[in-house]
Amino acid sequence: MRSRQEELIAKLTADLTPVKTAPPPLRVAGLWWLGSWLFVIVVTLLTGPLRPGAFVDLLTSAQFAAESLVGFFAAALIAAWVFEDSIPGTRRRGLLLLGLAAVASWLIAYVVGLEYPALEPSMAGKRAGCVLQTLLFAAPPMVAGIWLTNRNYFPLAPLRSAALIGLAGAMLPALFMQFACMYDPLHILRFHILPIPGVVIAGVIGAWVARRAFGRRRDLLRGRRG
Amino acid sequence: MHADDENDWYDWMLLAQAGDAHAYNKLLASLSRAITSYVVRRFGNVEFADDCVQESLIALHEARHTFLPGRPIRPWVFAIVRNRAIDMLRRQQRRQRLFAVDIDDPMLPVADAAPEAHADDRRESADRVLEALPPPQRQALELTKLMGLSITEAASRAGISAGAMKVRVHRATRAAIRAVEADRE
Repeated sequence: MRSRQEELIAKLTADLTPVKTAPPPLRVAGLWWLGSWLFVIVVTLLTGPLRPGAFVDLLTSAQFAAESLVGFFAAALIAAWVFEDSIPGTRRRGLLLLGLAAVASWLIAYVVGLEYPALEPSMAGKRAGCVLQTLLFAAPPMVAGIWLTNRNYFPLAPLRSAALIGLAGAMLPALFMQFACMYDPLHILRFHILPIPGVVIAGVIGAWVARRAFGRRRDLLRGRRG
Repeated sequence: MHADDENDWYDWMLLAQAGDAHAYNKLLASLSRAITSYVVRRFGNVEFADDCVQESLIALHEARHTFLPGRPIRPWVFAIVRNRAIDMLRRQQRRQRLFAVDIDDPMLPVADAAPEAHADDRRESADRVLEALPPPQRQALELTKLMGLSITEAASRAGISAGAMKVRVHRATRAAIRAVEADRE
């Protein structure tokens, strides 16, 4: 008589179909990154003008350029880690720590900016509803990231992945508001950065609900990607 | 585990990804032995190891497209195994909580025995209730309430529609409640 394991192995073997290996995670992360930036830039431009002289400030203020670049790389590092981590057994703890350290530096830059702002705080270029726009513009990148990681890979901690892709996704509109809205570190912290935890929580809840509703485990014997 | 095994696993996995059933069979057989040994060594429970191997093999099967050529196979396999083992331990804890005794419950007959004895009695009673259910209803409760699967996942496992699974869970819950009440009386 066959054991349970032998029976299962026989079933799984009988179910075997050729599978296409998952695409390299960093490549998918890069595509997500570019697509998300494109989306954020386009919808931001469609909903209002940029702050006058915003890009000139990048060249004239090293502090402004630094805080923008740190945020840019922080979100990129977090996104890269999430996609890499969706392949079981990939250990890139250093990448995550670097990303989180960059996120922390980005936040600290604005806290420091309360006392020593990179630019003279002003209402110039203020965007009505920037907080709502930050939330709304973050949602599609977050949903796309969660979908891409679950569609292509096998995240072992899907809620953590959702939280981090939510963080990376929400950082993009928050960052772009640097150029599309008024510059004042207090305003940035309250209206561009404070929505980020909301997006992270929404990502976790969304991922949890999606898993409960649709379930990753499809009919085993039908296979996943045959 | 020997490096040779790892090389074999690697080769078999690449062949399996291309659809070679013979290589896949050898891979799963070899992995099931390695996983059993790993789980027994870490958790010291043969029965748990058996269930854990089953869960791990299913997860490995579902995730086989994520093994990327050129990367080592061992961390990939054991990350999945560890994840399944932790999931199973959580489910066990959930099960224990589900059947845990509220020793302050005034409705419970309080005897001179120790609270642990009551807890054991209640767990046995719960197991009896489950055993007494018709197999499809028992399976429905086990999949949804004990293993924590969603209705869709449970339905997929049982090979029925989600609607049918909902009805089964509902009926099973009612039957279990009736049985527990009868047991108390």
